[in-house]
Amino acid sequence: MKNILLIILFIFTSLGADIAIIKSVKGSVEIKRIYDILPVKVGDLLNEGDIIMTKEDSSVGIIFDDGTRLSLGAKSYITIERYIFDPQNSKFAFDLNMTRGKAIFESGKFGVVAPKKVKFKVPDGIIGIRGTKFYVDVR
Amino acid sequence: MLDFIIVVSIVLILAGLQAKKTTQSKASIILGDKNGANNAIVVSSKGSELLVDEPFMMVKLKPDGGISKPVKISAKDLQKQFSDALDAEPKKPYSINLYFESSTKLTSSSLKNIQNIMNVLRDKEPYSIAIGGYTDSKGTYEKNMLISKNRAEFIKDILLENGVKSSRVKVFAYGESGQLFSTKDGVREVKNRRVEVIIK
Repeated sequence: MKNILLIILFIFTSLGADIAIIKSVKGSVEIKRIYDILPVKVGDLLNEGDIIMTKEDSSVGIIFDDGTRLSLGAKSYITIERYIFDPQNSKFAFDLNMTRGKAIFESGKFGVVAPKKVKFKVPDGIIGIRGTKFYVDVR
Repeated sequence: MLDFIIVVSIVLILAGLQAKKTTQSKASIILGDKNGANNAIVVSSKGSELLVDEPFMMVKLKPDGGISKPVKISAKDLQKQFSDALDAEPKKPYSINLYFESSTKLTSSSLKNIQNIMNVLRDKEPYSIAIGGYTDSKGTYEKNMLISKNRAEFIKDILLENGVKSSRVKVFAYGESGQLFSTKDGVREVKNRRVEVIIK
């Protein structure tokens, strides 16, 4: 019984671990988290697995734990597939998957400590970073 | 007969549209400008790989695999294309280094900087704070990892005492990695005994 409780606690804590903060919102921006679709506002926190969606005339600006900045233009759709930033245990993973829209990505500590662990996926390809700012437009 | 021709035409048109769709590249990627700082990306697509290391160079991904030749675009066109995302760009986080005499004893000038941090927090509301602890290279890797964690936790406690909510603070231990001032192993160096407070 105790083990089951521990496992449940573990699942909840790992699901609930926030990894980024919303710093700017214009128009209508929503996140898909497991089965829920939630509107976001400035100051909200994001989790690993969240899908961020912006509607027409909408945009959002995000800062991740390591200081990476991501901003999205209108009609964008991006999934935070994995985000692990744990320098103490040398564990790093950062996988984004954008299927539509416009994004500006500027790396934070990831670009210094583990640039090769960053994968920005787009249809038909992957962008890897070497300490970086770049722009992506997916139509 | 007419019906048949119409159906065939529609099918052909649809097939044509489909073909056009699949040969059009969906993603274009442009390297940004970081004011002369090192900046590069590696773009890969179905086995091919390309290093892009010149600002404002754009590549397109071909759906059949492969990457287009990089072409330079103007800063003005880039701004136009990404105007809404540019408007949404968060400000660069505020970062300050606090230095240590010894394990968790701040230098006197760094002690004074705590007040500056509290002032910045008011402007950054709603904020999120990342506290990174670092050590110099004196001592073992494991011990330095622990010291760096203790340093970061020490600063976190100070911020909590000043009214910062713990849900808005995260602590990261870097140990002797990520030194500001690179030294040989085993060297005491105050510039590397630090905690970096990043306010987002």
